[in-house]
Amino acid sequence: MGNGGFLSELVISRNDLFYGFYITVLVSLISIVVGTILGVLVGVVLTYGNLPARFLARFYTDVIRGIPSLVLILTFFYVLSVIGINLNALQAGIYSLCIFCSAHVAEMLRGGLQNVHVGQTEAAKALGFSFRQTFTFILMPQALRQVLPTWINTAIETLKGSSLVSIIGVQELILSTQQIIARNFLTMQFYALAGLLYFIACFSIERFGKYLEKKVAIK
Amino acid sequence: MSDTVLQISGVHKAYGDNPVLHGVSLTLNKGDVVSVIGSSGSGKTTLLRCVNLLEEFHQGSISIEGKQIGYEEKDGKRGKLNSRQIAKDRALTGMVFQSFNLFPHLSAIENISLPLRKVQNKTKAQAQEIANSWLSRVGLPDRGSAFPGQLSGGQQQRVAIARAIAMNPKLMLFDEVTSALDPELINEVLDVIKALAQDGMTMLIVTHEMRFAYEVSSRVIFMNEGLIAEEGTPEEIFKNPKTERLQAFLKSTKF
Repeated sequence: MGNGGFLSELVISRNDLFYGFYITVLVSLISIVVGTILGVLVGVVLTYGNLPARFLARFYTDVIRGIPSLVLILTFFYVLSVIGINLNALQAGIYSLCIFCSAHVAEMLRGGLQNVHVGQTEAAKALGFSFRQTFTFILMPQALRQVLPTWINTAIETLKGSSLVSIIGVQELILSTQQIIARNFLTMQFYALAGLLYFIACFSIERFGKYLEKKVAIK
Repeated sequence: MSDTVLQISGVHKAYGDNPVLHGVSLTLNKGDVVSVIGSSGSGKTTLLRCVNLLEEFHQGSISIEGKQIGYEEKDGKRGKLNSRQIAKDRALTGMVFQSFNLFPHLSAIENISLPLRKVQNKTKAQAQEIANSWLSRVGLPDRGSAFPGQLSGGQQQRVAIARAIAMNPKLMLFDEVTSALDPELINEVLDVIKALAQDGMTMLIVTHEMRFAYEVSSRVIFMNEGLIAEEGTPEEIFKNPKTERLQAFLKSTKF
């Protein structure tokens, strides 16, 4: 056992690696998509809600953003079971990352919406737009464009955060890598490989973001 | 024989303890072009914004073609209309702002056609056609696909005028529409407004361009400290000012 060449070990462990990477991508993707949708909703409440709603949304975003994502993950996995909500590791991991992502998206969207010049709202009102129409056709398109670069950042943070769910036993890239290393002791090589895979995933998100930015840029 | 388009009666407004309008009354008949002049802080922009319901006012009433806008009397108490009715009332007037306020993420043609489609439920083709014809009217027939950031200030303001008037308002409101423009771009905008005046559009114009006010207006109003201090034909106001305040104001502005 162990101490074979890196390439032969790579061939032996390719399925485990592939599965780990797949779970990493899956967890991240779901968390980013669901977290973004949830975050947009919370961000809208944060900006336009009435006082109690706004207070709740503010409490949610501030608390979540103030907690390290690792603590969030552990809370979902261990603490919720105390009050009778039993989540498996994958569920706990995905839920906590969704929440993490949503709080950041909410806060950035609030900033984006409030940054749209007040003249935009006035012009829309003067034309007879309802609030809903103003929001949908005028404010949101401008706010989303504005938050795009920050959103890319949050997506990347969420992907990197997904490595933490290995702690509760989700078989993602880090846990798979650790198990492979336990078998062949090629610590350096396989951690470097995991790092490379994370980099590729993050880099792809960034390129996608840049592409999107260019495509929707205001001329 | 002339029918009243705008009737402002005794409008009062204050920002906190700071009174801005002390009972302004004003009537515009169809085809009237009324310019409002006065130093900054005199309340002229606030008055215009009240007519568009962008500002609330605390007393008095504003009616357009006989219908009171923004507020209603219910059981002897004055109450604000709900936001849907307010949106409807706002659509009766077209407003052009000092800072253009075009929607930067939409092309010139979309800036004009989007409200036609969403507020007036026109089809895309109808909206497009109206937008195109107004773009031509303001002298920009081939800039429809340009975005606001690609247009000069004067061109942006002309698109903004087209956007407002394409909605077929009863009354156009112009709020210092040339104040943010480079001097060489002012005339192209003023010419558009003059052409609209000649077509018989009813207009209320807040302006610092005295020569323009003199040329375009059927009546000029001088506001001072939240009141209409003097009112008359352009000749009367500019050639023969009666109050000391107006005389001082005219001396301090260039004509």
